[in-house]
Amino acid sequence: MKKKKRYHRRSEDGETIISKFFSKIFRFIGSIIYSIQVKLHKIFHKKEKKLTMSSVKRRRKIFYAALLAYPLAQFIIFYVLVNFNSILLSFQTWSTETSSFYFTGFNNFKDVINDLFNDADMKVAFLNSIKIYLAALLIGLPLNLIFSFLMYKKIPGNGAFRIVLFLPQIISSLVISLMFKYIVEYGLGNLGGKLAFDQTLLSNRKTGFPTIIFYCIWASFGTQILIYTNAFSKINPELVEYGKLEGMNMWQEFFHISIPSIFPTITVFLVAGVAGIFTNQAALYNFYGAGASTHMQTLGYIFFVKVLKNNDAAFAQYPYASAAGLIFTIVAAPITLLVKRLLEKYGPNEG
Amino acid sequence: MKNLKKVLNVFFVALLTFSLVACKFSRETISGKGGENNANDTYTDEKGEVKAKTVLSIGNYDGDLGHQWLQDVADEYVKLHPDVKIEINNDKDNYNDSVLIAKNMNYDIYFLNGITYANYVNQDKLLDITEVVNSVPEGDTETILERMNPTLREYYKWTKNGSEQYYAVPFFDAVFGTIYDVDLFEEEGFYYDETGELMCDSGSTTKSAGPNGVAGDYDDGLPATYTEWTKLLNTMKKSSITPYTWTGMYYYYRVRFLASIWADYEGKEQMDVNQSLNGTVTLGDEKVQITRRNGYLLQNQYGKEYALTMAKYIIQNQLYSSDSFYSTNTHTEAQQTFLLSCVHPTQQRIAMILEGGWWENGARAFFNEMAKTYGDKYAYGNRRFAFMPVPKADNGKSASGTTLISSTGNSVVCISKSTAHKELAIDFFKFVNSVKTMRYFTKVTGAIRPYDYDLTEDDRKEMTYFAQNMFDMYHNENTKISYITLFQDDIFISEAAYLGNSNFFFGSNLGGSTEQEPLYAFSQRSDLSVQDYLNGMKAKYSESEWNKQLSKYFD
Repeated sequence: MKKKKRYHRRSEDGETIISKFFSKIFRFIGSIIYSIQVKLHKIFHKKEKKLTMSSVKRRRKIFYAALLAYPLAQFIIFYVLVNFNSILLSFQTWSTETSSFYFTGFNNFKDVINDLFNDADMKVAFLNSIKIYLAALLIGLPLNLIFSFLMYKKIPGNGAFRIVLFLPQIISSLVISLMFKYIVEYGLGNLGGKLAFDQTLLSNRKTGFPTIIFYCIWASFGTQILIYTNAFSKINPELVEYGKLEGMNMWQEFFHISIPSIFPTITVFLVAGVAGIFTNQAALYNFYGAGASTHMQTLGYIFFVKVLKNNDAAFAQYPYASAAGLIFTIVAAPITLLVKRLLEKYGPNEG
Repeated sequence: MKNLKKVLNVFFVALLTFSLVACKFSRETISGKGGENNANDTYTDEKGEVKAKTVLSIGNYDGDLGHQWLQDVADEYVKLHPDVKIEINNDKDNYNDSVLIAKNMNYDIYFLNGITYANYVNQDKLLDITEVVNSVPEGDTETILERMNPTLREYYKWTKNGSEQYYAVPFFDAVFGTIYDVDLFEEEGFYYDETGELMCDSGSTTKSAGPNGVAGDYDDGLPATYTEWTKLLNTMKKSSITPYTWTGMYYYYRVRFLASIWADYEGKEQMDVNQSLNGTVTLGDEKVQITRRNGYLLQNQYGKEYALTMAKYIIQNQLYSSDSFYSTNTHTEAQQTFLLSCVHPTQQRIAMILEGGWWENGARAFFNEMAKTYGDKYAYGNRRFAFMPVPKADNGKSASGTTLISSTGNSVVCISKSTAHKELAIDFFKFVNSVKTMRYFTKVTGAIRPYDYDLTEDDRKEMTYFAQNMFDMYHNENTKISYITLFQDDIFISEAAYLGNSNFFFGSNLGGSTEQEPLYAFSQRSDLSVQDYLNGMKAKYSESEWNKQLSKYFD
């Protein structure tokens, strides 16, 4: 016992010495910073003028303007100007004689529409884009809601679940997809998960796309769970209490109180999903680079790769891709607004 | 305790800061600074005055060729010109075609992997170097242009208002195809003897003349016909040796392998028509003049069918490593699997890899890693590899000699139009394109520049077996190079989606969608025949489809 005590005392002493040493250093640094502050104050500080109402307003305006300047500039350059340029491009064609763009009216639009209706690969891509959306809607969304609800109800081990499910969001998506690829191709492959001599879930023609869908649902779990759990936690406790008094079980609470309460949040995801049908490249580039097999391509992937290729005269493809983007916006925007309106009108609500 | 927390916080912040600083330092090192020539920014002239050096900046595509050769050349140049400092800026992404053209070309000289030449000239990005290419570099006897590969000389010639100008010269040439392990072939007796038997069967030690039919050159003992090729592969399989491996990540490696078979069957002249849509080809027994109007007929070239037959044979008989279609299997991983197979305790040894001529230099670091673990005989240059030309078809109609494909015809050396040191840039350009420097380039990288130049015996001693083999094959009088990525007709730029290489080469309409690459298609559909695939290709490029897509370009 004595030895223990002595050791304990010694360790305490050691800690005190270290902490004293560092507190001295911090104090010393603090005094230097303070003296610099005082000097700067003397140099730059002007006598405060009496503030009038108008000067206060002006200052506020300057403050708000400064606050908004950066995001606004970013929005103007990277959204407004880029999209404006994209709209211009959609009416142009690349001239191989002058290596510049020239206006050709609606030719690109004609080509895109023609391809969308007649090109077999485009049809496959369109169907795949819809499949990805439906999988997210019919499988991903219910799973997200159920898991979030269970977290909210603090089921045993919910903390661990939260970490495990959120992990893919913390790590870069490229790293996650790389890990996923290795697990599927070498991990599962070596554990007898090979479908044939040279085929894994990702390389096989029949299982490749379903595996990609699984990945997309799994990888998007974290963010949605975080947001839904947060939304659940904001439900009025009295409402939940009332439900319990009425004899509701957990699932009745889920369907009759929780879902209607957070429906505005669900609406946001549903609407965003519709808007993204044509642009979702489903992580295909992470998995297959520019060489994803045509049977698993989505529209988002096709147009992403079109302007990405480095040595394949990508310049010439910009106008076509721009026209496609514009067409997709024209199609997706009203659908998105309609879905939003319908969900707001007919969706469940707290009242 | 609170102070302890503070201490830990400060410690971690410091750690993070240091690691960021470390990142910054390493980037500066990679960017080529720190070479001997960059030690000082000043020099002392003849009068004893201290003056600032003129800085020549170079943008170098830092791919598998690396930058060591260029650093050495720059050092050599600086020794001769003490008033010059050369800064080499190594990068990859920033020197890609579409990225670079959208930027200002701020460096003086560029060594680039692949550009759309016409775009750069039309956009006035490059300096007119017509005079330079028509001059003789110091120590040479011929002009740069006279020594240039004739196909590329024609391609880089820019005709404007009746005059011929040059704005860039080709950088390097790397042929693509099958690389085989010479040590393994010798150990196992996988060469053919002069009686047409495998040495492992006959016990003979005299090699056959190989596919080109000429004894005593680069392809002796290799399978000369399709039948010999199939026999060799089956013998390998029986000996528990995996014949082929390739990257699963980049499908165009497989497309290029098949294109190399197709090209060797057709010969350079007939293969080149696929890039120019202008020339005569033999289809069946008929000679057909190909133009933009009837380019779809090129799908009938027998070379394609021959390539598909070989592809089907490889897949059907599982003559490749099982990870060859894994998307995790990058080209470097495939190289490493290939190299490691000779010492791997459980994996079968691999005899051949589908690669480009740059591969050995790219894998240099891995060779040396292997040497650390397994001994010096596995070091770079100590193992022997060589290029396997395509076996000729059994019908006897393959083109004579060896036709190789190169995917690097678009790689260039050029001077930026905005260079501030025009005279110096031109002088260094001539230095880089002299015979002496080209020899050095080949010696260090193992790659070839598409110009006429010889190697001395001393040069050869310093080169790997593979580099010597490539050089000999490339410069053989019976070897021809077909450049499969040159945009010899503008239609390939404006209609890249329809005519892009992998599509026009082997795109096939099968069961409602397009297959881009036959090896994968055969691996996925065991019932898919060569004829089915061919029919799909002809459907994708049928006369009606061709007219629908391209009739606006017909004269």
